[in-house]
Amino acid sequence: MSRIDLHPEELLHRYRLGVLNPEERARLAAHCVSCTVCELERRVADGMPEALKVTDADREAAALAIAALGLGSGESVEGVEPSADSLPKVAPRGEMAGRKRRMAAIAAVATLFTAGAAAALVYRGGLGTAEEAASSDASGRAAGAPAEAPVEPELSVPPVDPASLLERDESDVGIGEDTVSELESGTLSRHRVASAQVLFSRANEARRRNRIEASVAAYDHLLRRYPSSREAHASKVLLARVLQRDDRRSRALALLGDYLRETPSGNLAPEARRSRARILQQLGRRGAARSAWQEVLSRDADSPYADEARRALLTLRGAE
Amino acid sequence: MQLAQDTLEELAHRADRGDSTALNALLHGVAPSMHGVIRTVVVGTGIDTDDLLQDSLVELLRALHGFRGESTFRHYSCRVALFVALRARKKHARRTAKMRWLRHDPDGVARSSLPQGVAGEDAERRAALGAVLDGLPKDQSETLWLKWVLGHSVDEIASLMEVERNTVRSRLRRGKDAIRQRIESNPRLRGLLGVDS
Repeated sequence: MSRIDLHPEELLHRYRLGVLNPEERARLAAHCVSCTVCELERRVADGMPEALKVTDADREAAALAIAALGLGSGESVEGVEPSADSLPKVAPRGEMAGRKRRMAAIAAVATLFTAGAAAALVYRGGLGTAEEAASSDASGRAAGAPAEAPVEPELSVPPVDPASLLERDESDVGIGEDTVSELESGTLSRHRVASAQVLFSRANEARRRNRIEASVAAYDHLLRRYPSSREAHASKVLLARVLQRDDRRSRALALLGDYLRETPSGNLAPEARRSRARILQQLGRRGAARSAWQEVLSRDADSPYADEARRALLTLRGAE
Repeated sequence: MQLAQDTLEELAHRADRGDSTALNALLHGVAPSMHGVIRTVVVGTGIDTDDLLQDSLVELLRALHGFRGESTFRHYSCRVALFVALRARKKHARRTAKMRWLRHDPDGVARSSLPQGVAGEDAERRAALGAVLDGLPKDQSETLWLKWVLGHSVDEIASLMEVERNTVRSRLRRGKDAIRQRIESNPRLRGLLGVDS
């Protein structure tokens, strides 16, 4: 055996895929007795499927990241397709660095989706099926993500020229400027996108760490400072989730109502409808809860919340 | 609806031709898995995974035209996420003076890189492993991440990195030798990595 073949890489790969035969398994086990690193690789491989399994937190992060990029969905406008010219055009790799590149690309993507109703997306509720179709051909590595990911509302800021972002310093990010005057002058652009994003990110981080007051404060700040931003709009559903946990249900209901009035087909609408129904049920408002669950069933029949709605309706009927 | 029946590969081609509906569905289809890869790679570093996911999605948009169907689109997107996460790890290590000091003490790196709230033996092992891999040369470290995290074969890595198969094997061997030296000289690190016995 040459020195380069010291580690049985093929066997380890096949172990990862779970396709070793008994003889191969014995050979690998024998090697691992004397090779700490291959044993380590084998243990890492054992834990990797679980580590890479898509969780609710992954789905939530995905929905928020896509929303932050401006890939939101508003009301459906069927039959209207944007042209290829409207796909993001970003500077070639290497011309910008780090966050500047991201901000430029975000702005370019935002431009695509603020091009008007043409960019409004028809898609809602079919993502899970697309995901299933895709995962069926995957080998199982890093796969398995159901994607009932919510869709976000339209970006409310004017299109941004990506080139204008290249001159920014990173220190610009997160600095709130006078948004109103920027809006009026049409120069809202970068500061607002970055600031709303930063506030949104802080609020989400606090929420994930279960720092309720900090997250409520951050969402409230975002709602006050950038009330028409996409982030603020999505915040209504996320803040409602926090308030619901903290027994501040009336305000949660009001926020969810706002969100659903503004974007009944928004990406977070299924979650908003589910949360509203839950809160109404917790408040003992049976009639309203029943209507709310029925709305979940009728509007979000393909969502993961449909089963919960059916169970809740059975419970409500049983209690009568 | 046609969209619901499309595979990610079909969505990618449609998105590349300017179909925004397909683009949206595509990103929703792969982003959760990409986030899974990112949090696996940066576990224990405290790096913001939300930011990295945004970076990865932007990189994926840039790379969309380059998708030639040589792998599934999910693997393609997960690779993008992996490289973005690795870049962030490197940057993080460079920026942290503490890390520079601790690089001479792999056990310390592994322990100190575990933030509060990282629970579970596997997560701890991955955090320790990540800290050890950070100390390797870039080519070896990337090769090991591709194999250990994404589960790529030697041939797949050779194709991805556009190098000879033996080059990949050589990088794996040199990387593993370096890891072994560190493990064997440090019993506590051995314990953290779960190869104590």
